[in-house]
Amino acid sequence: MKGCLPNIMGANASAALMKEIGPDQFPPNERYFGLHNFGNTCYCNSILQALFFCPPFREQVLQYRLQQNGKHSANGKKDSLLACLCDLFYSIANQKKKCGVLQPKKFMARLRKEYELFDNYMQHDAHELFNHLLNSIHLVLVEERKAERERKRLLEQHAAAGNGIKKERTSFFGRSRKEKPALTQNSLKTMDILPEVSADASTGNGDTTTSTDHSGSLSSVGTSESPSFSAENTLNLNDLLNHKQGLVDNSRAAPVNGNTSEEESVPVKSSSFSFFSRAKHNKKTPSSFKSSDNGDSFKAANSYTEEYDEDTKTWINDIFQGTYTTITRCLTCETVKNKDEDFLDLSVDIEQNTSITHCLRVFSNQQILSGEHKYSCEVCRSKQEAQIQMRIKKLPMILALHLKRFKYCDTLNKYTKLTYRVVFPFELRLFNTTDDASNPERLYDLIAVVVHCGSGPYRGHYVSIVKSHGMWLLFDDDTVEKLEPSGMEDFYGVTADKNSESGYILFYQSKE
Amino acid sequence: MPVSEYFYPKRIPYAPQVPASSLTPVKTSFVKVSDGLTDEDCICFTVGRELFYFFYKSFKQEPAQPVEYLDKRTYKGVAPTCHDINQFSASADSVRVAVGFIAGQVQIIDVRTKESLQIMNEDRSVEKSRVTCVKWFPNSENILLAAHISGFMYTYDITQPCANFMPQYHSQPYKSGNGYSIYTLKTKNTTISSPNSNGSTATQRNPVYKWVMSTDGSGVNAFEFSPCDKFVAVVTQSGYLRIIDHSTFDEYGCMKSYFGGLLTCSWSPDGRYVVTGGEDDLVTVWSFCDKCVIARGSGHRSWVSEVAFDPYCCTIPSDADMKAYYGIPSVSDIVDAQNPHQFGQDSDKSNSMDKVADAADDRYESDTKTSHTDSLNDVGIHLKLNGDMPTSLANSAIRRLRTYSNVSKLSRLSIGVEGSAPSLSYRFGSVGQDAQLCLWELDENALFFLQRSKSVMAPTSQHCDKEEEQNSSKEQAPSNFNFPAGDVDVNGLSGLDYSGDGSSYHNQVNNYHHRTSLDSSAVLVPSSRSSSVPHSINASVNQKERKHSSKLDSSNSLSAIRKFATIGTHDRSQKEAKEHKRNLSLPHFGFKSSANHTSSNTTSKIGFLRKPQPPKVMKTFGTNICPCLDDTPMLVPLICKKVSQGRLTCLDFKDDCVVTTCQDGYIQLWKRPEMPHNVNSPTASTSSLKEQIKPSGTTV
Repeated sequence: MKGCLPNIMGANASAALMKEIGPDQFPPNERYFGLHNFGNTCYCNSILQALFFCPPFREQVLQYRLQQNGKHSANGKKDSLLACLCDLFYSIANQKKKCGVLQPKKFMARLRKEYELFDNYMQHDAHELFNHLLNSIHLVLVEERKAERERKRLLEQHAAAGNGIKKERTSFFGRSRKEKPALTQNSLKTMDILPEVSADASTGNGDTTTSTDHSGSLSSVGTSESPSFSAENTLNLNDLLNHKQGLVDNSRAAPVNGNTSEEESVPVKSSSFSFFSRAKHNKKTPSSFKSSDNGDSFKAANSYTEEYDEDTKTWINDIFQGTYTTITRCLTCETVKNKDEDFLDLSVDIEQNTSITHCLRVFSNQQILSGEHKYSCEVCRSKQEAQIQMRIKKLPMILALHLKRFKYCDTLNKYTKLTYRVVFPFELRLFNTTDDASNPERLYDLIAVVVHCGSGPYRGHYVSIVKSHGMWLLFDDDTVEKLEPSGMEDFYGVTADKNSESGYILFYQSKE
Repeated sequence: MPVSEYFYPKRIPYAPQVPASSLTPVKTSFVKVSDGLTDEDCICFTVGRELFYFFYKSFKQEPAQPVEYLDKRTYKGVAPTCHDINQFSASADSVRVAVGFIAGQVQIIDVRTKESLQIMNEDRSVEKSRVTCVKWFPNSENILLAAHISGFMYTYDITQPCANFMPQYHSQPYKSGNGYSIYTLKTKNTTISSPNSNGSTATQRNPVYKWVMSTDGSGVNAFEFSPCDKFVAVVTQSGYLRIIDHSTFDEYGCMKSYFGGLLTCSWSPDGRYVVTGGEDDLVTVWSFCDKCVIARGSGHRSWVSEVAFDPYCCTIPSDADMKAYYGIPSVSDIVDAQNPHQFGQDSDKSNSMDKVADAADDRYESDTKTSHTDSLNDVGIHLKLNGDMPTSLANSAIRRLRTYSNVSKLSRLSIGVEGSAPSLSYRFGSVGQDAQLCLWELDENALFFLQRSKSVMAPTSQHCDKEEEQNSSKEQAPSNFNFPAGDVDVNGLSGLDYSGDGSSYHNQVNNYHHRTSLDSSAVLVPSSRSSSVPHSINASVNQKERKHSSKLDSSNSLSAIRKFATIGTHDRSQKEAKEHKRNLSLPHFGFKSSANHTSSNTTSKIGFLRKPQPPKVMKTFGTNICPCLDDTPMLVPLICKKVSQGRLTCLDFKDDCVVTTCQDGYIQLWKRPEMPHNVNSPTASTSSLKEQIKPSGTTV
């Protein structure tokens, strides 16, 4: 696989790991590969390793690759971040050697292309990447889903074409299409392109991206947004089937030239921010649900406000999404208002010498909204003091907990790291669930920890600790080491020392 | 503010620059040494690579002169992780301390004579992993038990040498229990045994026993011998507390943490309760008599590193009073009752009640243990013997006795309000990694909360399940028969206006039903979770304090009781046998499915009885081994105070103070609060006198 060549340099290290685990103990069908650091890319490597050893996530990624492979074997160029991730995961999982080092070149290149933020050699926040990555994957999936649905609609229409029903088509277009109608409209040549996911193929001439057998039969379909279905009447059943195949091809098709791919990346960027509004964005939004004591500690990062129908629910939601309820009680009229919001991970404030359990309790502690943070009560029709509380309503399959170790310090005018010792057990149950939560006492197992080492957010190093086949492994860029469970104590944080190695993102997986 | 402090000799907080995982906890232990005339308290203390032994002076005594160390050791190679003073053999001439090390060795030293006596596992051939806990067997000069982070424990006999080669164990475990097994050394090793073994027999060579305490390699974090010296409570990283008879290696009972590992455990002075602390930030109280979790306590902000009962603040009535007023048998009663069963003796007619009890116990154990497959047989015996039940009350078995005397207790409790029942309360403390010291109190309310909360729900469950209602009504019958006096009370009370105690009384009576259908908590509680209105009301009542026991409940139970009483007396003789059969199988519903107990189970319950039950984590949750959060009362600490900067590692209660040990090397003495409920005032005004301890010798 291009860009994923095993690194010979890591041979010694991998042999050591092999020895450490023992050839007999080495789990079959498992690969432990370090990832090369291209210069401050440890934030990426640590997240990738944590996600790779997150069983449901890896399974879905590899499965997605299989599906895509089945759909287009000849035209194997694919370019979404998800596709790059798939290739990387597949590459790791199918290495001949048991352990070694890979270079996630393609993924990094794609990441830098897609997100301006990461397009440099600076230190980045692993949590930020985690959010972007999930958002990006989610988007790709959603748009593919839309494309799929579009195609089905089309097929139905084909079937019903005899009736000569005309339908408005614009509504079927994906988000990116809407944003750039000019780009797509002129270049549309065939029906296949209409439901295009990321509109990447649309800018091409269609020669390379469209299956030849339809281009002929469908060429009569013009660039009109509301095509006449009479033209499609000519299609026979075979064509319909082929058509379906062709659409799938197109949905994964690569842009023809460099220009298109760059353009194509624009809408993804913008839409990802709107889909999952991140913590920073939330801060700017005039939300009344802010913690009163702590201006920058908006409690849940990554809450996206858009209501999702079934259509936009992807396996990212299945794996990571939970729901918390914000219970607001107006202290004047006593009206209680519950508001549900989804989250992909929880960002929790931390304190010295506490446990993650306690931090989660604090997360759900009742707070009073007063002063400038007053709650605008709908019943009172004015700003009122209110009690606010956040409790978990739907517990996710994978509970990702982000410890807010980087805190903005007003006096220093920069972010500083909190090296607090926050212990996290190998098992976890939540205490802060709502009364109507289903299975509120779900037992979680720790499966991965992204650890930040060093003194500041844009300084230091990221490593990840993952659990695989009952073993704990430490992935530090290109080196992989076995870790005794008791060694986890090193990563809780310290009470005094500034230069700490401390857990930053915790991944807990539900046992059920 | 601490009234007294012992400094780590370097007088600066102990903060070594080593990875946290190789850091050893700072531990203290106390011993009272008597030279015939005066008693001297001494303290043994490990910090980092050093061990100190010196006279302990409470804050009451003036610090006349700087305290000299009686003994001090500095270990160059390996750091000590734990130690234990042999209290049994300690004298003015000799104080033996067993010290466990990070690399797995156990050294026996005499801090009085400053001798180093022996090292077990010196070349690490027995075990290479860190010693987490070492203790001398009770009343034993030479036998000690060492627990390791690998999940193994070893019994050493220090009169025997520990050979320097890999011990060979029998491939078949000497004893195999649910989730643990015991191995002994192979006898053929005698031929290789070293000449200086003083003619020891093979079986006495070390380690005498190897305890494999976990199946998944998770470590043993601590263990504690019971006050009756018969049992050892072992807590593991996998979250289990196991009570094991250390002579027979039979498991008496077990418990699982809410989540995460258990880090510490402690027996109440009378052995009736075990308190554990762990990674769920909770303290959990496990009842020896009921073999179930009766309460949890939430107050710590991080893991609980040590719990200890305060023997000076526990108000425990005598065994006789306990039985009479509270229906709690003494530990020895339980042990005696359990023994015939354990040794498989067939009891004769006069012992019939024991047999019944065994059957009852058996039902418990068959839920958790696969080994007890004979429970069905016992059930049969139980049924036959049932007729004899009322006659031999004195010898009656725990299970039954408890339920009966609950009834009697109830009647007396209502009198007890007027002052005749002895007060009952346990005090224990806990320290955690959050640097907080919490003091907790287990009083009657907490101890009997579970029974009440169950019984509060009884009426609703009976509404749901006619059959069960009949059950319970017939359950009532034997109690009436046995306790005519109590019966009078029942009737009398139901007429009287004992709104507060009356309800608790009736709860207890109802509880009779729940006692007999042992695990009905698991059966009933889910029903309360279902969102129908009356249920949720009850559930919320339970979650809050029992002081809010609503009128609805009490009236419900009142009516229920009346009904029971009448039905019971009429129908008892005819249907008794049948009833008991049903009762016996009832508990299994709870273990099988907690979702709906209303579904008919006649076929499935039999299948369940026979089906061996593999121990699984998922299955323990929601049972007595690990009840749901709402099923047990949640205690709040009397006092919760941050007492240090670093995390706390040790807690001891002395007659005049509370001693906490911090990871940074400080031992702090805290004056007791004068009033248990007066939290704020007691120590604030006391000026702190600090005893500074001169370092003796050079530290390496």
